[in-house]
Amino acid sequence: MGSASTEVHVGVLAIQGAFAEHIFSLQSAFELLLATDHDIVRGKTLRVSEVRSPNDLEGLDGLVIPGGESTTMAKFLLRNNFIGALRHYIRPNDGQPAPAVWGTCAGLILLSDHVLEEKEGGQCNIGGLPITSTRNTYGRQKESFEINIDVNPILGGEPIYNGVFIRAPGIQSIDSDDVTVLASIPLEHGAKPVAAEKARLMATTFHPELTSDTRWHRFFLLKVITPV
Amino acid sequence: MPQLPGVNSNGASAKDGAQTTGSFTLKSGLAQMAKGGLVMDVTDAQQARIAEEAGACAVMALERVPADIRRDGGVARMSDPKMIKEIMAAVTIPVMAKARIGHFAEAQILQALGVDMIDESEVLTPADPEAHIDKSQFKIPFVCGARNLGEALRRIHEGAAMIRTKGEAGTGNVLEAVRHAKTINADIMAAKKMDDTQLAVYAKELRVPVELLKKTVDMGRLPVVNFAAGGLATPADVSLMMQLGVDGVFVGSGIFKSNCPKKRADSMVQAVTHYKDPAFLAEISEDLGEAMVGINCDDIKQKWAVRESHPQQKKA
Repeated sequence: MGSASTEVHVGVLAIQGAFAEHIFSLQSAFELLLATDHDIVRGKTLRVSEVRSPNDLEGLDGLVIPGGESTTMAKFLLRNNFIGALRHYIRPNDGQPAPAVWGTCAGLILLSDHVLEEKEGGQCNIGGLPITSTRNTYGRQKESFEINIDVNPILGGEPIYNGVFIRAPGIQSIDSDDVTVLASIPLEHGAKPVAAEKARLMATTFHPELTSDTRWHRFFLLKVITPV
Repeated sequence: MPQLPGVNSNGASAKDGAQTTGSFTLKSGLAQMAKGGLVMDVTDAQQARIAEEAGACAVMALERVPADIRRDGGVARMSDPKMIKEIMAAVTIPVMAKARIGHFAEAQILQALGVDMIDESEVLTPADPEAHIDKSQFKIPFVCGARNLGEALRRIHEGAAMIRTKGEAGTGNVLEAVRHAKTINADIMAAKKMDDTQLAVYAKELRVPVELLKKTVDMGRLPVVNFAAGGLATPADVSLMMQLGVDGVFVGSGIFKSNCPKKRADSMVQAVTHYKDPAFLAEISEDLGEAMVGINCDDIKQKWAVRESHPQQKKA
């Protein structure tokens, strides 16, 4: 119902994985922002749509790349140069402002500049975030875990958050000074970074869309809405 | 706004500083990551690689695809751990394996092997006439078959993190999968029209807790991820099932019993994502070679879909 100027349009890559969960969480997060009368969202409306082909990227203010199987997503992205369209969307070279983009789990792998133990030929990356990541860092499903992680105060709210890690990737190294760590596994469990951002890009190895705490989605929406 | 399966709203959060494994959030979460995907039956490492290359979101490791189990007859059991391990080593996507209905020892072995999900499957010969596996005791998730709402909720109550239609595996005939998906939808629609008293009676009839039935009614869908399985053989079959509201699909005999498995695997995976685009489906359905021959469900000697164990079957 909002006019073009007041509508915030976010896409969720809907090739495979937990895209419906992200759409639900984005809408819940936006409602909460409106309910708390957050200045930045006043008078705005949110539209969330599924992205299944390169054309669907047009006009999006932000994009979420959900968890799922990174090899499955990569297979689709290699068709019709979808990967090229995504790279161009994330880093526009035509003077357009860069959109906000968030990758969770498999999405973090796709946004990483470097992925260790890359299988030959089978993978492709969008890149953009100067981090090095590994797939299935903690092992198979029986090693999947929940843990309270330490959250960077810029997220707001409680300093800890229940992170849900499912066959999760790991961040092996942060490869640039302009990357901010947004969350870490607590010291007694190894103090590894599990969420990071650089300017308009952010990535988490865990799954905020599987919990009812929407602070990561609110943080992302504020990033989408806030002008560069 | 519709609720989504598996989103944890209470409990299940990590204790201070402690690491939690095997919670229902983690188990249903793996199923949620498979959504919009295709799980493919494979019998060796080479087939597993073909499945992964095609973009399958997981593989089901088993010695014989359902069509061969039908042909061979006899007792069908859990697969050889060696073959399951070879498949686990060959791919990075999740690996599932089947245990017989009620055979909790097979399930314990599969968990020890480290498979990512167990299918307590009617495709294998049932091992317990009275009971299914108590799935809540396991750290890894289970998927179970169902023909109707009652069967689905009984399995969920036992701890299943994912449901699939039973269909009639190994036939290449989608008829029963359609029947089961539509029956589940119709049962939920009927329950949505009931008042509290009627729901209590219905829950008793289905032999499930009324809270679970009410949760299903509130959500307007099964409270866990729901896939189609049993007889899917073409991209059109995939689209049909997705349009009936399932979250993803299993394909068993349909791929490696066709005469051009690689190409068919590719196109069926594409069909799960693009199920709403008939023009694209036409393109990917072209020139796939012959599909598996298929069997009419009325002609088969043994209907696997009726395999469900419950106490009522006990003879005096």
